[in-house]
Amino acid sequence: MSGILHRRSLVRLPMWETLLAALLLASCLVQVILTPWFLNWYTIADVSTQFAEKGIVALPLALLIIAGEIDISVASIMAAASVAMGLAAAAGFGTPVLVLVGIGTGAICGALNGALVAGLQVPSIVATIGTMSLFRGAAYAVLGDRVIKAYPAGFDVFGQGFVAGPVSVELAIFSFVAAACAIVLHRSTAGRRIYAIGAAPTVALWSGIAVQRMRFLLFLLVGAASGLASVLLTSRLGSTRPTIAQGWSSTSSAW
Amino acid sequence: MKALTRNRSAGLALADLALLATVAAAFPSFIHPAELAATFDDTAILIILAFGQMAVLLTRGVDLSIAAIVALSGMVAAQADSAGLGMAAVLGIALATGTALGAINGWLVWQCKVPPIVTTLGTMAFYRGLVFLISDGVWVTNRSMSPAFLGLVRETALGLTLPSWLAIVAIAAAILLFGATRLGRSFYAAGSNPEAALYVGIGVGRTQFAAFTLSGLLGGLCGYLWVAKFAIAYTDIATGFELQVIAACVIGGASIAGGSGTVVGVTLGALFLGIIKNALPLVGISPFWQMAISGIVIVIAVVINSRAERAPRRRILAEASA
Repeated sequence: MSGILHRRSLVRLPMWETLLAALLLASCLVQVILTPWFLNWYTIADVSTQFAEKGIVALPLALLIIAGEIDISVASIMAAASVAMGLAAAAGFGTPVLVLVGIGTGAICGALNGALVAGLQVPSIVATIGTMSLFRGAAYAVLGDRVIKAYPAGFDVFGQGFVAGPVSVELAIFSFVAAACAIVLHRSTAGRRIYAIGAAPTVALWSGIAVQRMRFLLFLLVGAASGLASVLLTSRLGSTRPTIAQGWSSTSSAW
Repeated sequence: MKALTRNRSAGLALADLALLATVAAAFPSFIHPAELAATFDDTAILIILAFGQMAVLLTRGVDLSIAAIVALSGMVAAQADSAGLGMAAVLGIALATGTALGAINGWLVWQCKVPPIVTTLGTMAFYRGLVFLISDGVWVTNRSMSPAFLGLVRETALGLTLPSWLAIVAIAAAILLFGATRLGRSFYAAGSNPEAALYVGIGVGRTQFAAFTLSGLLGGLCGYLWVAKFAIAYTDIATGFELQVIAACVIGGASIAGGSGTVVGVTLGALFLGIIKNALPLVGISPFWQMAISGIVIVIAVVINSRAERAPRRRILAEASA
């Protein structure tokens, strides 16, 4: 699998990123021409909540992909985390506990993926195909066709609140995650190790990098990030269904 | 037990039989011939698609767009039928659509050197979007389908339906293709060692192209079967089915890293999933649990597979490959 995936990281980055920035500008321009309401801080803030949730998952997922692995179960992890939060809310817990439950459930799911890949040596695409139906299936098994809406007042701040002016809470959290990922990847030993593992796992192992431990940690991180994204999404929608975040796995990895 | 993990197909056959026996012990009606035939009919599409996926997996690829190909070919077939075309033309159009979509995947992988997982992740969304575009989100239901369109898939002979017979033909054809043809053997060669395959004159890209096209062709056939069997065509049919198809291959012992897999194993893998799916409602497990249980089964199967794969190798230096 690593052979197929790591090639992406070897693409000459500056050119591709310039192209992406140009595309982003171009699509904004088209929108501005098409509608007079696009160039408005609150529209932009609204757009930011749409991409912040996906971005929070996509950034750690990018680290995982650079390390030559993939996790296609992220959307299912979000569903499982959302259901866990719903159950905790129904049991009467307050907002701080709900956030912990959401991130914690995500981390547990991620740890299971990590254990399968790093511990039991299952190729990541196969392992996460299995856990993808497992996590989503667990959400269905618990909820069936029910919907949980009884979230405590104050829980909606994550998905619907603003820090200052048009800067939404989601955008602030996303910016923090983006900065953290950039520092880890480009300014830390761990980041260089992730590249090394993706480029040549065996060479990385022989140079003393704990390859399997790093893989496990990356899956754990992606799981926790999916849990965090689930907190934001559930808070924004104010409800939980088993179909929540369906189809997000491919969008996130397409980034 | 060790011998069983060595000979994976024999172990899987025993697992299939044990599963049947367990269900039959509680519900004897499950192994009534008519009931078995119904289970086989329900699994036929999975078996047929699994052979196309197996070809792609053998060449170190993966076809995530296969369910979207089924949906698009099925929608095109249903619209052709609603437009009043004859059955031969409708089937021809379904097959041609599937083949063309598979060829697009193959061409991108072969000529544009896009990794298969990225290619088919993209075309998966693209083909699914096309279904919405050509149908305008409108459902084609059995009210606008012709009797011939609905009837063909329900034809029976010797107690088995058309999809069942097609699956049997597909198994026989796959045994010949993968075992005794130049193309079939080149799937294995291109996947187990691309460099060596190139040196003996096998075009690796061309072989990948052939594998994706085959997968698309079978997707086109199953597009008609799916839409006619369930008597409805809409944007979301078969969503997520690509994972079932890949799971059938992997449970059957096809390696995700390419180069290994058998027709018998893949057939048994598909039957394993089919038996579970058909047994769960009978045992009285809520349909909401089915997804979780098939997830657990897939995880257990791939863990057992990867253990069996690693067992025979002895190396002095550890490798980091996953």
